[in-house]
Amino acid sequence: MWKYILKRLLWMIVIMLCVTILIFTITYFIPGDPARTMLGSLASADEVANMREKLGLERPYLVQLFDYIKNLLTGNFGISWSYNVPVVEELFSRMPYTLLIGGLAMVVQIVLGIPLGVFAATHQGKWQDYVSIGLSMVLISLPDFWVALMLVVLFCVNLEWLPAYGIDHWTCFIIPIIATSISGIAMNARQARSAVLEVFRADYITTARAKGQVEKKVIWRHMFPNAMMPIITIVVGGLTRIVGGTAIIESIFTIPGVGLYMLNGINAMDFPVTRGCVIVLSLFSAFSVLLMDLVYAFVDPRIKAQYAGGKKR
Amino acid sequence: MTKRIVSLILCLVMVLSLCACGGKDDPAPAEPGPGAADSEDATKAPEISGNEVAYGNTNSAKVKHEKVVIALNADPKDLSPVNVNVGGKEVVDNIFERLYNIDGFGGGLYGVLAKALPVEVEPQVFEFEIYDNIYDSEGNHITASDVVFSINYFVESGYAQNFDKFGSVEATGEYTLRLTTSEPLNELGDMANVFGVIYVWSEKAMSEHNFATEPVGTGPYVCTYFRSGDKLTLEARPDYWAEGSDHQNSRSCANVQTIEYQIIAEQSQNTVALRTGTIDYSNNLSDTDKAKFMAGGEYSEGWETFSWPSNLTYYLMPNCSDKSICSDENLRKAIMYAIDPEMILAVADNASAQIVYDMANPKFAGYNPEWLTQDNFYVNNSIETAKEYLAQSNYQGETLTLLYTSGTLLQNVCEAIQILLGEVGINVELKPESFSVTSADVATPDAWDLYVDMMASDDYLVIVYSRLFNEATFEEGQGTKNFINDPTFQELLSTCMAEATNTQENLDALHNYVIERAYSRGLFASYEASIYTSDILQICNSYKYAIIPGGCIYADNEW
Repeated sequence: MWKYILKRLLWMIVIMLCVTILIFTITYFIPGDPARTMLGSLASADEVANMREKLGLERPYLVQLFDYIKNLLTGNFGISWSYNVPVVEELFSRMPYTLLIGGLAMVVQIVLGIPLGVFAATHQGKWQDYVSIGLSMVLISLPDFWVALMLVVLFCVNLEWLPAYGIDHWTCFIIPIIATSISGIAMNARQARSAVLEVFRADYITTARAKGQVEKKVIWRHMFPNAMMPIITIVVGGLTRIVGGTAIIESIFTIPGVGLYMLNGINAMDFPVTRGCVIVLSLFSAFSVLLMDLVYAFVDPRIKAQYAGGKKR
Repeated sequence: MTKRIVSLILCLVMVLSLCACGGKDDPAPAEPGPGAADSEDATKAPEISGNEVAYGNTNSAKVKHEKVVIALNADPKDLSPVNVNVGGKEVVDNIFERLYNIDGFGGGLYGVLAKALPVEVEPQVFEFEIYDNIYDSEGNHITASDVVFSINYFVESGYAQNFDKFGSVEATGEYTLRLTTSEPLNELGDMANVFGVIYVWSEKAMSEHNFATEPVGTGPYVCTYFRSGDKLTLEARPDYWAEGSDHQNSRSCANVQTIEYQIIAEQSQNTVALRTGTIDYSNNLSDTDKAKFMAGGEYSEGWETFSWPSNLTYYLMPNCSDKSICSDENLRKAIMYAIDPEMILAVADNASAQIVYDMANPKFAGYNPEWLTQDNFYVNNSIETAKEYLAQSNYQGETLTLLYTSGTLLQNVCEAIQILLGEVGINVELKPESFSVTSADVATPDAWDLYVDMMASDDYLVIVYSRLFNEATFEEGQGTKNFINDPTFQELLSTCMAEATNTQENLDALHNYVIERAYSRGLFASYEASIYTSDILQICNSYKYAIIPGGCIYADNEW
């Protein structure tokens, strides 16, 4: 097992190197001029040329790429062109807000979405199933930003229960978390329902029932663990959205998170910020996938046995 | 039973999240709310109320207002005085001070850190003196060497714009300086471009702090909290160096103890923040919501509004290079005559805009009201005339590319232009791009045929022309922004730019020449409006209408 993890970690280094080269190349060749974007339309051609020189944009592609990778190895993501602060420093100060919103939203999605899906599956064809799936369909179709604004109107303006923006108090995070989690709840519910239904009529379930086991035990002991695999894919896959998926919500609620940082970096053609955020996001995704594989092994003894045997069939 | 309760709770949570859809106070209703008509009138013909900047002999209130919360449309990102972006401009002026400030549109300079206006002791050599009692918020004494350091730092930063006439600066004493220019300062705006943009700070303070997040300036306020993307807080300095002096002005007053700038980019959130009373000032509301806060509007109680004409003018520019079919003068004229300004205005800005009859708008020095009565495409636009010019042109049904920066307003305007030109028989395809891509494409002769954008001027009308058409501003050989290589045009422009020959007669000649050649045309200028709490008795704005919170007069101020 440890050998497998080590092998995956080594592969991650290769993947991160590829991601770094890719994002660097994309930002290098992207149309537009960062110096012009920084100085605005009133700057003269000479002023723009001076700024390009100052930013080091006139150096050859390979020289810039090599310098960038060399700096990355020492943990230096560069200094933001628009914030004038080291990118790593800013990422560290913003990460807690993004993790808080994304993480808690994920918890809400799991806690509400999966039981809702199981509930719908166990009541298949009944009104509870139709209501649950109908709601899921509606919620999955609602854009996050629209839900966010509607929640603001309801809870901040009409009811005056919650603040509409900011990070001053823990209550500021309630609406952003709900808004972020709504579509995830629906997605989890639908996935959980399909997964449970798939095993619902399996032979071992019929056997368990025939042996006289109570329905609750049949569902949670026999049915649920076997339905977990696709659910894990969705749930752990959601980890990758924690960092990158909250940009719009952060923008609406004025939360200084990583998503908003990346969005501002892209808009301002602030390449150190864009590259830094994409690399961190990729790193986060790579770890999430590794985690997903480990959770698979934990849940499914067959997979664990494959890893323990030293080869994955 | 338990399962039913759980399912009911789940359903309730989801239904509640949808309930807001039916809320009566949707921040962006499709139809204008009550009072919209009144306020539309107000935006059509706004009155400049309140003071702009009260200069001289103005001391801070003895009893200060406790706190004011201002909404910022954009994250200032960097609080250093050299990299001032959209969100940062109005913030930085509370913390840092310049040698000189600009005294309004068409005005001159007045000293802030400098005692008096610079004196030209010999050609291109200016001498000036700063006050001897300037201290920053950390107690650092500002001397001439700090001024030299600040100017050189500014030049080397790469952010200095329109500063190419600056040559060098040296300290001639502890508080006296000599500045040499690389060229004579004989064009309009030259003095402001060289002397009106220089912030000064302590070299020692800069060596100890990253000004991007910990600015240390000489201004009346000190930054006590800044989190990029969230907010920043400024506190009035108890030891402000100019307090009580006879040269204090409204920019250097501190009538409020705490200024909190809350970054709220989302327009609807600005409305919510005003309605819930969590901010005291915003100028980032949709037209529909602005109307609700104006006199007679649904939310007007407790709120005041201030409207002003923006210093931006929207324009349409044809590509005059050989790479574009718009190099044909008759086609350009056909395009210009096809533009119906009333229709453009109707789609432009919910009627809170005005038609312009020049490349610049009427607020700038040099605008001639008689231009409204001339016989040209601005006044007598006509489809028939457009078709006549089109028939004389070499146009064979090609599709013209209309380039613009993505955004709702420009999208509406460009679609209207597309329809108007279509009526004449000119085919147009729209090419919306992000700002960064547009700014690169616009310098490429074969990337567009028509271009719509906006241009500002700080002071004089001719500055707009200079920014668009001065050959020196663009790549060598490019000519103007739209690739015009016309020596007569440059001669006219230079004449108007020179301070001695900036006469109305020459401006008329420049204005008429651009029309005759159909080089470009102005479309409209918009109005802006801010909403502020009634606790502010008198709003104080800079000459560009950014609020100066310390200079406002509050209900509980006492002198």
